[in-house]
Amino acid sequence: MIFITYREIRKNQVTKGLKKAASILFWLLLWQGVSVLVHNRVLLVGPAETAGALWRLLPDAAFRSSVFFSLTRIWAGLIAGCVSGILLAAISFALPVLHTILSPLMQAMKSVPVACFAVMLLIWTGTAYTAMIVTGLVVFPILYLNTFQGLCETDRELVEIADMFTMTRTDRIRHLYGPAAFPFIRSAVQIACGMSWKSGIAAEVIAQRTMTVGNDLYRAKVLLETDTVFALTVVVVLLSFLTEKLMLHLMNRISKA
Amino acid sequence: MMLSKIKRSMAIFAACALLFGCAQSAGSTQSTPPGAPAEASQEEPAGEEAEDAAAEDSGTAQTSTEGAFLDPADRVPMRVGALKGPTAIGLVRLMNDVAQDENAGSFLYAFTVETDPSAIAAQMIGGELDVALVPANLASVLYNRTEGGVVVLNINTLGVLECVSADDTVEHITDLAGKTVLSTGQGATPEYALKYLLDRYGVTDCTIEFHAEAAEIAALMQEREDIVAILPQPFATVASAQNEAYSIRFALTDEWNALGEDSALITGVTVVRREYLESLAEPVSIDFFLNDHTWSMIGAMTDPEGTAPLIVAQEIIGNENIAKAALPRCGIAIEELTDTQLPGYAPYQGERMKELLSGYLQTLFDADPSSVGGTLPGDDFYYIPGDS
Repeated sequence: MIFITYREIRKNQVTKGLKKAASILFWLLLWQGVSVLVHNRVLLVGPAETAGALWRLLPDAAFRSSVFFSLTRIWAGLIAGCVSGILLAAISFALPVLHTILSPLMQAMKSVPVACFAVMLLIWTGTAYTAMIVTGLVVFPILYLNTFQGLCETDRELVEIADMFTMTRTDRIRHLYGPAAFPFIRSAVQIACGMSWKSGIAAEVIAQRTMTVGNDLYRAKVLLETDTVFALTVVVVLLSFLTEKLMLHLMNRISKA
Repeated sequence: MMLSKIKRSMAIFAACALLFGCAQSAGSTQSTPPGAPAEASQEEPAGEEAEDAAAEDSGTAQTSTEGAFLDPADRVPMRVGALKGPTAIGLVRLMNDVAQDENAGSFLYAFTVETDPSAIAAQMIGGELDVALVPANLASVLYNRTEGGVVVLNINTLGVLECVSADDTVEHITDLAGKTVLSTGQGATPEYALKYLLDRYGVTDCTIEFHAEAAEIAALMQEREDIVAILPQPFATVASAQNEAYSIRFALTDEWNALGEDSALITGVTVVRREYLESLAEPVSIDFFLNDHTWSMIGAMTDPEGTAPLIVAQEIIGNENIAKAALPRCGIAIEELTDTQLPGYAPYQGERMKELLSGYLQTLFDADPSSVGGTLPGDDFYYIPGDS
């Protein structure tokens, strides 16, 4: 039976949705249960208290300006890191000697802890741009390495055919290298979105720049406001999710063009 | 040598404690302002006199010190946490005595020194520490978060914040207008004290840039000469010793006192877990710890020569000479008594602590309730000796 009716598709989607909701509910209940068992508002708060803290934060003007500041900085770092990573990978692909020079640096950058970047940047640039630059530096090697690998996967036979037909450079990028590298870039961007928030917030915590989400997190830690820590974590996870959806949407638009 | 010194300071403390007790019960007010026990080292001769006087008056002094000794068999373990900074300086002598002879203290002490106040707080909440020396506002936060699970024993550090700058036009808090000031201690005493003073002196355009550790600011000061920093002692002395261009411009304590209000700038207090406090039964009492701590503080105040190497050994300051120079400015919370017949020293405990600390917390609360954990602690927050 290969034919599936529309109704069956709907039914499948509904059961899928229900399963997803059930699994989320399961984890929320488990979380609430553990928090009741622990019974210590400093060590662990439950989903109800987290929601309460979130409700308290959302109308707060200071909190919203923190979110705005962090969002713009991290997005700026993310986009700068992605664009420069892709461009440099393309240049390295055309100029193999550059790749030879860059590859040990990229491997090293990939493993340098966020804390090291942040501490050095604090000394070099002060607290204002730390989170943005750290985000860029973390994202950059991910995009570079993946884009480069994608370009290397281009079908050799197709390249030979393109050579035979003396295809223009623009056409080659559009029809040959672009499609080959795109899946790699896409998955790299997806990883980069998550990493950008992880590293950006970590850098903000270290930099202690006031009026950032990372610093709000630091203050909540210092004042033992665990419910605020959890609420801010939820906010960061949501922002990270939003960033990923937006970037993937953007990628799809670019690929269609 | 060490022992004789301990005995000496004990005698001094005993004589003063007695006098202080009398003064308190007679309802006389202490005219000496809290906050400047700094010149103690120069008053060494007075200390000697006190020793002689105490020796002459050994009858009374002896009776009050006898209780300070506990049969070693009765001693119980006590885990004490402190912060690497001014609050730990009053404790280094006790730490050293215990390290050399485990029977030196009234309890079986185990010390933990951390750089991050929240690490100490977490251990207090988790029950891994019994006593902790914490920033004053954090003590109140702990009280609130644990629903009254901690009790404050004494004030251990008064104002230690000082402005360090290469710019000799910076002489008062009002001179910080229009400047970017580097500071440590976000969410702790430095932030709230600085913000409060800026607010009270009507400075609205001062940008505060926070750094996690004083060492970070000190590193910046080594390469740049345009920094204005608010640093706690001993780090203010350390930073200004590193680069000759810098010097200490003014003390926040002086600016605070110049407001003429009935509160003092308090940096650090000592708290105990209520559960632990209540577990102590005769003949053991938390008062023994308070005595140990007080002697240690008096020792640090009156004997900078002997204490400086211990501060270096605890890795609070790297250099002995700097430690010696910084010691008189470290805000050790011992009051020098000058208006009594016998010169002497008194700790900030009991009713006196309650009066000063509750006034300080009230000030913080009025400025920002979250700084003290949302609400002011109740009367059961303050430990009053002999009132259990």
